[in-house]
Amino acid sequence: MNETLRLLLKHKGGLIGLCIVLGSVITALLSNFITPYNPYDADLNRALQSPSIKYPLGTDEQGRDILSRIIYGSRFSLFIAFTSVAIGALIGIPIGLISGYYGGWMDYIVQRITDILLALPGIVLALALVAILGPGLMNLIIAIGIGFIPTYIRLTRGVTLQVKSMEYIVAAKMLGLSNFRIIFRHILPNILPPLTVQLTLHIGSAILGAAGLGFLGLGVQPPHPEWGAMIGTGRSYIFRAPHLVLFPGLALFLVVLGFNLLGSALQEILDPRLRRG
Amino acid sequence: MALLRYLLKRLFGLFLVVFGIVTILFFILNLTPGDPARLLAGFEATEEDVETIRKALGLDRPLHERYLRYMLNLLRFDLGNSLRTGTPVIEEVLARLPNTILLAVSSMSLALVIGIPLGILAAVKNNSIIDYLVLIFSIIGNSIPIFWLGLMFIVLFSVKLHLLPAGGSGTPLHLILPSITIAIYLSSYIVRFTRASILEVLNQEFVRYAFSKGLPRNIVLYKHVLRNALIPVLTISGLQFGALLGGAPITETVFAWPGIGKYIVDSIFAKDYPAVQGSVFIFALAYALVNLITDLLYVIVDPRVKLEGGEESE
Amino acid sequence: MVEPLFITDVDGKIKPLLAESYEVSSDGLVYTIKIKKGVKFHDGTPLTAEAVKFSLERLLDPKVRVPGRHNYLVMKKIEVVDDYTVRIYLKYPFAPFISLLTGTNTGIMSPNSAKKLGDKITKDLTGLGTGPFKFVEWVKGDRLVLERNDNYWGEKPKLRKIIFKIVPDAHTREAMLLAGDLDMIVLPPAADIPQLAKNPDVKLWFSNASRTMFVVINTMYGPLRDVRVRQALNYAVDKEAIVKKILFGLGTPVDSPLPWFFPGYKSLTPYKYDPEKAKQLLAEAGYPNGFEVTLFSPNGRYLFDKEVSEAIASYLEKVGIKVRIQILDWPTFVASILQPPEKAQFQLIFLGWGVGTPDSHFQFYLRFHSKCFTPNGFNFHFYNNSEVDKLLDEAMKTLDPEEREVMYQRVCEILWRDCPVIWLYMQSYVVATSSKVKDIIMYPYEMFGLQKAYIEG
Repeated sequence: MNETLRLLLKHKGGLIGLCIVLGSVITALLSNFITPYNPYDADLNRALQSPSIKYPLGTDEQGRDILSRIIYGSRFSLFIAFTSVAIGALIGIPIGLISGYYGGWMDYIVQRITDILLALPGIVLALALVAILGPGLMNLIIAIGIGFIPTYIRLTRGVTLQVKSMEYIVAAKMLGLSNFRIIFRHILPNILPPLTVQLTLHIGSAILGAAGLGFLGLGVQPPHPEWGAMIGTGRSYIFRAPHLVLFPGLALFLVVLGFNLLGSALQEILDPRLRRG
Repeated sequence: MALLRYLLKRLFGLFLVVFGIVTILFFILNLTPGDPARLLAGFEATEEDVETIRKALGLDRPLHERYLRYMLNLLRFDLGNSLRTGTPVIEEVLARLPNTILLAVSSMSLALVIGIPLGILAAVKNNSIIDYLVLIFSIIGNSIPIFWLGLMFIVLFSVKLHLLPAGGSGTPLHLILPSITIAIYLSSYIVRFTRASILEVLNQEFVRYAFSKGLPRNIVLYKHVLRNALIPVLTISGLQFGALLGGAPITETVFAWPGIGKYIVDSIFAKDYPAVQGSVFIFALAYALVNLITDLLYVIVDPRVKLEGGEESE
Repeated sequence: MVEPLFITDVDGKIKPLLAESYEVSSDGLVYTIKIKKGVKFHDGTPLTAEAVKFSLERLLDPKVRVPGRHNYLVMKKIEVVDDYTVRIYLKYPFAPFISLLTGTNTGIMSPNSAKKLGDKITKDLTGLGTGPFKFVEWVKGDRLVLERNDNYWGEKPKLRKIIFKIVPDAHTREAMLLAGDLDMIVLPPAADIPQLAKNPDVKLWFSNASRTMFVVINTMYGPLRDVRVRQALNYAVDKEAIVKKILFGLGTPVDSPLPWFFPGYKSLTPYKYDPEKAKQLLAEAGYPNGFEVTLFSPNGRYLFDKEVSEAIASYLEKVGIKVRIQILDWPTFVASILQPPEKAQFQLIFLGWGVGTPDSHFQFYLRFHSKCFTPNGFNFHFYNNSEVDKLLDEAMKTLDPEEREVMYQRVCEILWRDCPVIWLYMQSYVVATSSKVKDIIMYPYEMFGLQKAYIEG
């Protein structure tokens, strides 16, 4: 773990990624204090203003300061991403472990269900779920979270199967060690490296996924400043006031870039074949 | 023979999966609030009008009866009629399928043309500045929100420069922006995958052996490395193509491209249940078929892979 | 393509179209209508009383899908008196009857063609109408093609052919107009209207009335039961700013519950933007710290509906009322608002009401009569005022237009004072054409006429 961290700090891309990630998390946590204006304060008289000294990123169609809304919006994007990936992992990993370890008809059923969930690409699945459950923060998180479950099941199951047949596990079983202990002490640690990478990369795609649904109008309701929803609303004004779309998009790009850089660096560090010298 | 058995087994699995999806979707859609009969009748209709329509659509029958009837119709590819237009869903979907396929093929081709050469370049020039730059390109491409990129392209090329149309379809010009938008995202994966795959092969025993035997570098590269490395790329491309058949719903919406993805989105918003069910069914079918074909190709092309246990790879 | 017996003209008055004249019996139960002579359908057969009887009876046929059928059920019997005279018997006196006959649903069609087409009539309309343009083809989801009727009974249209292309996306429509692919588009993207106005190749056409927009107030909910609170809501919202900044000027704040060309219209004192007065009224009513409400709004159904709702919410917040906005897609929205009082989960609804049939009865009865609480009607406000009930019932039966005018004026006054809604604005209906297109008629109910239009050059 420390070794990983050391290598990470030496890795240029990873370092940048780490900074961005930490930066966005801190921004999100402190957003209540660092926004120049109240992100919800509307005044039609100053609607759709271009960026200026007073409002560095301009104002939106209700007259609210875009910079403040972007800062505050980080809370939504990060919260949604972290929670949905957590749901996917917390549900998917145990299932994958048990399914892979015990095998049998239970494994077969789990496999088929996973196939079904994977038979639709994440976006369509999430769309259908959100459309059914209705708009709203929790429903969005559930919809995206469910989309991640099959990946974690597959991942965990795969590693479980690999490790299961290794000699020392067979030996452990013969020695009478309980299954539970085997799973925890031997299999689980093997999962951690690829898992960490996946988690990090998934956060990036969860942010984009939530933004995509927000763009379509599903998900977080107005007047909350979720970045995707801001782009969706701003689309109507794209010819007149492109800054409504430009800045939230840049924010999305930057944060996702951070997570992807971090994840990519971790991937290189933890998988020696990809290491670059 | 083993191949045939494998094929049959997969087809059976495919059938189960698609069946499962449609069933789940059917029950979820029909158990949610919202009355399609009322929607069709219109906002200002009376209860009688709504009842008449409800009877005409067969919505007053019990759930299991409707389910049975729906599944039986499904086998004949009768997907019912769209609640919005009254036309058969199968017609609506088939009218849009070519558009989505067109977009998928053009985006995929573009992505491969960009991605594979870059991936090869990066792998061969491992650890150089070029490798570094290519990786950066890949990570950036992966991080950009597609719908935002599309909108930015529209602003730049359509509004400011008046070079390309802002949306819709009809001419080859209309295809350019959506394809590029999708291709940038796709190629980011292809580049990484190609690079990783080639690096892996390059490091393997038989390649080092070939080099050490003094074979010309280029021939080694081409005959052994490339052919082997491209196999996983093939797999991932197959998966992505299948997913693209889902119409990249968001991109289609941004560019008003009349494909299946947009149709699914519009139908979901309009609570047009038959349309949602039908288009998702067709999509799931197409996606599963593409996956199957990809897997088969994989098996045929790479003799090392066994037919069973294909699911362990991740 | 198909013409009704009467039509609402641009000045808001009902004029005979296929009808020549009409008479009403003194008890209001019998309408005798004389039809124009010498009019032919597109299939060549003459327009006769038989055809009128056929068309109107068709509306009553339960096998035919008719939006708003319940209105036509007031007709008991339709009789042919002679080739050019039709007599309609009503079940009960219904003063707005003639205005019903302006509806496009009541267009007169050729029995000959209708019978020939049978069920195909939902896709094919060949030969059916009497209008200036006749049906050529309809490719669903793509286009509708009409061509000039050279045997038209009235002034022959100048345009030879009209093709309606279906383009759901406003920006795409706009792009096609600017590229010259289309000569005319409806509803260009509102945010671009000022730019389009400056474009010398484009001409904009506005309809000066089309749809009334308002916020329904659930008058049975706690604080909203007090009329002072409802009036406060009206003072709290700056309608002028909304029209100017969000609608880009595509609307007119209302000064009455009725549009200007309806019987009973009377200009009343508007609730000017006055947040201080709003807070004062709230305090008087016992809510100095405000209260919480939920606002339902559709998304994309009306011009900038989502944005207007957000703006309204923020105005209400400024006077202390906490608003939870729920933006819903149209189907869910409709389902959610058609609830009886005990199940209603909303306190405010952003909504619009069309202006189709030019009789005040249709503007008020289903919305404000106490018999019409949802889901039996559209009284989402659950408004219950016995004086209004009485006036609405009377006005429905009274045949004297002047008496009706007085009654509806009184209803306007009461409603305006009682504020079962937050009065907002009338949405404009905009059409954009190439500057070469001339003489389009803009009707005050979201429709346009091309019978006199032509393209220059």
